[in-house]
Amino acid sequence: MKNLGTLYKFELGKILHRKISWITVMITLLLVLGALGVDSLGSYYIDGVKVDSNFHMNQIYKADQQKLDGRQIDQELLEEMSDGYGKIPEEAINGVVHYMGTEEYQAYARPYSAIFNFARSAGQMTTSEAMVWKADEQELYQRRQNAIEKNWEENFLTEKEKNFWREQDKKLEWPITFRFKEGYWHLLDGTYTNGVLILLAVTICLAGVFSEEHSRKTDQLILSSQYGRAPVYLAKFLAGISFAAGFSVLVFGMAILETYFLYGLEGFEAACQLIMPDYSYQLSVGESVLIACGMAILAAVLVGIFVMLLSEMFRSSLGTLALTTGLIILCMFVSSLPERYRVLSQAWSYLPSNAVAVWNIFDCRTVPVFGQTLVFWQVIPILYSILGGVLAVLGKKRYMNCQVGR
Amino acid sequence: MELMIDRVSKQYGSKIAVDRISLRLHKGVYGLLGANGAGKTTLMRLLCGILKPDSGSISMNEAGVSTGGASATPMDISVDVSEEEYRALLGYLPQDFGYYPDFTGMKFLLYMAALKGLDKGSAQKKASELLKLVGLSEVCKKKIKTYSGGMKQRLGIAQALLGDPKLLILDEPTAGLDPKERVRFRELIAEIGKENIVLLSTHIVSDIEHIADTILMMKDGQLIYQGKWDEEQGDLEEFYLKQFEEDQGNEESGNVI
Repeated sequence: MKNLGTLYKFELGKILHRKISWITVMITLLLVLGALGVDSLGSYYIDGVKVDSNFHMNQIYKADQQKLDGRQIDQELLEEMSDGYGKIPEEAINGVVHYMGTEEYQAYARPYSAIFNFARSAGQMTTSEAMVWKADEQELYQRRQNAIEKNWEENFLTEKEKNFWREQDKKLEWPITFRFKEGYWHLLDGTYTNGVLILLAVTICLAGVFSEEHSRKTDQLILSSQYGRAPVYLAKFLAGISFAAGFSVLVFGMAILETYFLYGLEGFEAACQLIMPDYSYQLSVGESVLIACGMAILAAVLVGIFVMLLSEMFRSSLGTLALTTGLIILCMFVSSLPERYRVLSQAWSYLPSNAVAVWNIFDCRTVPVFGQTLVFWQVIPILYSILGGVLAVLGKKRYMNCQVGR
Repeated sequence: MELMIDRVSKQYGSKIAVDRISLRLHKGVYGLLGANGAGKTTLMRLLCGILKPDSGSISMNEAGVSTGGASATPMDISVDVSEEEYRALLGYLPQDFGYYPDFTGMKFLLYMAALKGLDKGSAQKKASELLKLVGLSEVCKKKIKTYSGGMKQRLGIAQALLGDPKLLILDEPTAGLDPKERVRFRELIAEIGKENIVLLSTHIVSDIEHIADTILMMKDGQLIYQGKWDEEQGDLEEFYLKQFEEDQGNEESGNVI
């Protein structure tokens, strides 16, 4: 299509040169970087008493974990951890004083805190239970298995799904190898916040793509020109989705860069079960982070397409902004529907502002497609491609038939 | 080359903006006169394909170019080759001409040139020529938001002339121009009208009485006069005012429709 490249550059320029775009982009980046870095700023308190700076404490924990890097979480390591935590005085275990403030914790338990947290999480134990737990590798992994089965029941998984996950779980290597992966933990932890911020920013920046042409009355010039219909629609569409995708990549790129400086990016290959013990798919933490970023990028692109459709339909940036932001906020308040309404609940989790949540991305509910069992992050690219295509066609139809002066 | 408008109508609710207008336009300058609300802008928007007629058809006869047809189907907005070709022949200056405040004059013309299918090289060349023609060369790198009303109007005229349109539709083109610019503009239009169809609307008779080959008058959506005007017929302005003030349009003899 002649001049598509030139028109694309102009349309992208229109989005990027709007003041609101710059302000939104800057604020979003500040919020993302601030949220990620907040754990490293300020002071470290125990029971209201300042003991160190957060940054220095992070370095201490990092050093502790690096000493354990590469060791299997087996009976031996669990016993070391258990011995260390066993030295914490009873009044601290009973909560009379904060256990982290005790010398015993700092000397013997803290070096194993990462193992402790894994055992507590995998074994579905409270902190107090975990502190008095007698190390038993078999029991721990049985506890994990029980928790997984319970989760499947609560999510109304079919027998076929359960078998699928059992097969996946068999592929995992047990006992699991401990790796320092703090950076990836922070990145995964921030995915939901980053994702929602990206969706809001994309909504703000793209709400005027079509509507402003109408409100500015430049639509008359565009629509009466030779390439004012299909080529302009395509150029605007491509500019909008590339902005959404590019902005998402920028946000995650900055987040990864900040993580590198604050926590390091060692441990890409570590099993994701170190962070999500009840997830049975064979993935590394690095892959999990990339998948989560990918989901956010796809969600941003779909929201971008939706926003552009509304922008043409409503011919109002404010109306588009109000409806889309309202939907995003609604999804934040109603982040999940009761699991007993399996289809509805699962469909709800596929909405863009829910699809950026780690608990949905690594959900156990699957979708059967042509005899294959697809997990959440495999469904999203297919589903969003179809939805994006449908919305794009609707938008094009609307634009091709639009008239001015009505 | 012939632009054929066949019983074109457009209605907004109960108001008939354009009422069964039929016209055949050939090379030359057509001056469309009418009071505010007469339907001039609606007719022009219909001709530009940015409004769909409720009935009737608009077609252009030039080798292989047509936006409608003998079957009298309403101009279809869906893009097909013929309609894109029709728009390639068109230059349009809307009455309330919109612009991008942060674009420079040059950037705006380059954008319009891309919309009109000009390649980069010829777009740059043509934009520079047109900016010179409308006296904006000196300010071509300044943002449009810094332009005066007259400068914006001249920029609008320049964009309409991009791509050497065979059909030039200008809605109130002299609004905001000072007397000197008006004279220059009239000369330019007269020159373009020698080889192309130029339809310009105004409610200022002096803008067209010396350059329009054909006068068209609209009232309440209908064409009430169509024909040439010469001095022997008397004063055009007087005739025009008579049509609108005394409401005697249909009682006039001669060329009154």
